[in-house]
Amino acid sequence: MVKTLVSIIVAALVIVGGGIAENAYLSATFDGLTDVYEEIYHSSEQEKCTVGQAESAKKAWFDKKKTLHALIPHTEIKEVDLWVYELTEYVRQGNFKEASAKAYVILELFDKIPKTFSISLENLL
Amino acid sequence: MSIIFFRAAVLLVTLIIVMRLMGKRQIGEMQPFEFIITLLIAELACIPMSDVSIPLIYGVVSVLAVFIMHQLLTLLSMKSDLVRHAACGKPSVVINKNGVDIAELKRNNMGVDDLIESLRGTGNYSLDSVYYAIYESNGKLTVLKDEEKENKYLPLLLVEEGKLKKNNFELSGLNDGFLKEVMAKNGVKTLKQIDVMTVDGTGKVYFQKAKEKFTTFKTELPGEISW
Repeated sequence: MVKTLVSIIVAALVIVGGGIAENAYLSATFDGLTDVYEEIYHSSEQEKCTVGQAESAKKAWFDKKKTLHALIPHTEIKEVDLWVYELTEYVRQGNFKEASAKAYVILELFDKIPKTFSISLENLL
Repeated sequence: MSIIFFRAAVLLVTLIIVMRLMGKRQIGEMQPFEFIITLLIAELACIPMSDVSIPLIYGVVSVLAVFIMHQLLTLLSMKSDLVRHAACGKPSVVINKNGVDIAELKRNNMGVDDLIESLRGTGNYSLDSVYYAIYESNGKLTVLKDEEKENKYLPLLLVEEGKLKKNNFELSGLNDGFLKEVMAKNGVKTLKQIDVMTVDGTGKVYFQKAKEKFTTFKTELPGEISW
């Protein structure tokens, strides 16, 4: 009886604690990435974005995605990867119109991905 | 992580309800809850194991969710009969002193055919060779045997809930005349008035009118018929 109770409490704590930590980590990570890519988006709109800026944004994403692999499906990470590569290449080519469009999609993905893991009716169903 | 826990919990509860509604024939040797856990754990562990696009943590959380639900239900079952009956079901007495309890069989989505099959599994071939037969909550049939009754002959089920079992009837080689004679002797005009009727190769008849206590009697089989 005591063993059963303890096992329930421990497992529940692992899930609740893990859930809170996961939520906090995802929010912080995607908020940070959103700041980086908002800058890219605005500078692309103003046709001022540099290759160095795009490369450092790409590095920021690649640094974070190593840990994100443990929490979100790899297919979603791959999707962001593709958009990030395209964005960097458009900036390199000086095609700022396409670059800003790619940055916008990346920002949308950064907004949607953490929401996929929140506790809501649409995620439950 | 939390959403996976909730999703796993919702599906687990749904499976328990569905398994309970399906009755005892769907499970074997296990409590419904144990059966579901066995089904789920294997699948939950298998998917993230083989699909590299799914983070391993998804599998771990789902398995933990099943574990928590199992422990919770075990705890609640120990504390409350109501929870135990709701999750695991309760034993059904399908043969009592009056004979076969058709209503109880139906409650478990079973027929007399299934009962006779399970009865054979316990080494009893005739319906009157047991005092009581109980379908336990794990789907297993246990019997309180009538030690005086012999199990030497194989009875064939001829009528089940007012319907003639044509295959068995043809197999037995009996004719309509025999059936009518037995019915007339027992004051029955139509098959619908019979719940269960079996006949063995020596002519011993197990006869149960609808909502009445069963009777057994010997009768002459026509011609050289015997099995």
